[in-house]
Amino acid sequence: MSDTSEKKEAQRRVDRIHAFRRELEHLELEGVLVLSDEQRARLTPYLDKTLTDLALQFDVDVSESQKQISIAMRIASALGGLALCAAVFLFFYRYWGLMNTSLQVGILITIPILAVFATDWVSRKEKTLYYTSLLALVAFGAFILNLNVLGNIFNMTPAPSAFLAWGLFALALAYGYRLRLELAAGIVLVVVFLAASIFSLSGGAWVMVTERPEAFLPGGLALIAIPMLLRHDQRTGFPTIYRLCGLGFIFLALLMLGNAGQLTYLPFTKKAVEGIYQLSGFGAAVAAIWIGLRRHRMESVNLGSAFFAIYLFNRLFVWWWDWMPKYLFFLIIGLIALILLAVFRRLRAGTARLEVA
Amino acid sequence: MKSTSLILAIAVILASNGIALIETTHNHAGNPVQTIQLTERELPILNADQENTGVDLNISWSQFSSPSAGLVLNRQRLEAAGFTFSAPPSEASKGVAILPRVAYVALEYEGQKWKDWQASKQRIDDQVIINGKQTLETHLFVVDASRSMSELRSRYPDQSKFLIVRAVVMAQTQAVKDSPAGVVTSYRYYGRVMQIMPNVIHVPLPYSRLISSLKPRTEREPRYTVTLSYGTSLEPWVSAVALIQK
Repeated sequence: MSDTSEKKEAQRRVDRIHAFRRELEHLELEGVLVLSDEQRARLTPYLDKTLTDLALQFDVDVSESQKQISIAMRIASALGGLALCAAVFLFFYRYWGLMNTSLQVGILITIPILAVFATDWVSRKEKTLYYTSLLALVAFGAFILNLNVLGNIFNMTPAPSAFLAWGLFALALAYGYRLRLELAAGIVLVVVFLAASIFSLSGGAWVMVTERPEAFLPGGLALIAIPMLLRHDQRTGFPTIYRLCGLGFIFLALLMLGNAGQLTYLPFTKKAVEGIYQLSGFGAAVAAIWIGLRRHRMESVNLGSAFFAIYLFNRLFVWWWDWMPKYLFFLIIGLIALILLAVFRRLRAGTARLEVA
Repeated sequence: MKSTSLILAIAVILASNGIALIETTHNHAGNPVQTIQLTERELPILNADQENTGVDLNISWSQFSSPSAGLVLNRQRLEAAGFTFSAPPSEASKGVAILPRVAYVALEYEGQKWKDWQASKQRIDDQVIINGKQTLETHLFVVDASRSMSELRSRYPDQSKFLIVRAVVMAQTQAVKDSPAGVVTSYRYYGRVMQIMPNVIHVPLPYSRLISSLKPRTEREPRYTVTLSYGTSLEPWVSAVALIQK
């Protein structure tokens, strides 16, 4: 079993112990089950020792306040990483004009390498990933600065391959140190590279890739397929991120195409294209909710529901806003929101049943 | 896994930097394919503040079409740049945005287009506003586009007057209607340059010292000239900077 899985199992056991204690208290109050003094004398130290051992061995949160502090630490780690990235960017820009080209290039290459070594060293020292995550973010930011400024120094023509390099780098960090933020950044960058490549192959200038949102669809579909093809037993949160990013790309592309049919590869009129993609958008959102419910994937259900509502309100706005009295428009929107609430409530009840099962 | 990732991450850094440096060496190898001297009008300073000590210049260019001189990027030139049009446009292609393409574009320095622009009523003042900053008016104008650099160079051989660059070109089709009846009588095809690649030129030491030592501009005349050399990949570098003596 990997470190992460063991830690997760340890955290689940801590949560079970707390739940057991609360339930036992409740049962004693109700008089359903009362432990004898001897039983209590054996149980209490055993549970306390188990919690202490788990906390020492796996650095898990053994109390509610510790859990909240852990959340705060995760936020501090992300914000700290971003702030350090900004510091590296601003420090470099403040002094690079005083350096010759060789020194500039040397520094640009050295900073991300040092940051990667620091990430690796810290990851071997800590059980939690707070400092590792922070340093990995600095390494990622430094590598973006590296290629960006290198292109600037040598006046290079912008190329989509930079997105591939940044994406692969972020994925290497994500898989090596089990970092979800880097995984999301990596897969988004690789999909941008794929879309830019598709756009270039079709004859377009890649910097204008958003002129054909369809170029993002293959990447989005590939992201959804990856968790089905690759097992992520040791990185339990990764499939969710793949699905979220994949669905995000698909839903956003369909939203753009449903409103701007001129941005298409399809050999149909603008109106026909918009109609096709509006229907596809609703269909994709419903499919995401349905599959999400069947396979217990709450991220698909939530994102599908959100985009279903966005598509619906977007269409209502386009159809009615100009000619309908505003009070009537908002009244209808309010009524539809009530209907959606009822539908989502039923969905919620369905998911609750699934989760209990 | 950690060791593999460490090696992979370092390999990505080294490989991408290595490729970029090899490409740069290749671009700089041999004689420049073109060299042109421009002034502050065409290469204004892009960044100048305390937080950024580097000096970058922005290539400032313009495109001007007039009823007398006609469209710069007309149908013929757009087709030479790689665009294909069906005449009349098919039912399906009506309203569908044409893909912007990368093409070679010829820019003329202080040529006929600039003179036409000066003579036209569109010119308001010697100075124009770009991105909220008052800047000098460029004398560099788009004159032609093609898929082939050599074809453009053979058409515009004077390197001191014509700069050939890679650029993103956009094309559009517009229906020309008979005004009283609203019947489409013909189609107009026109294009414009969206972006020159690269459009920012970095000035290295020691040239950057000359430019960064300049005081804020108070006059309407350019204060410096910059000689740009372009390599085999059509990527430029600064080969000389000189202050203009008053």
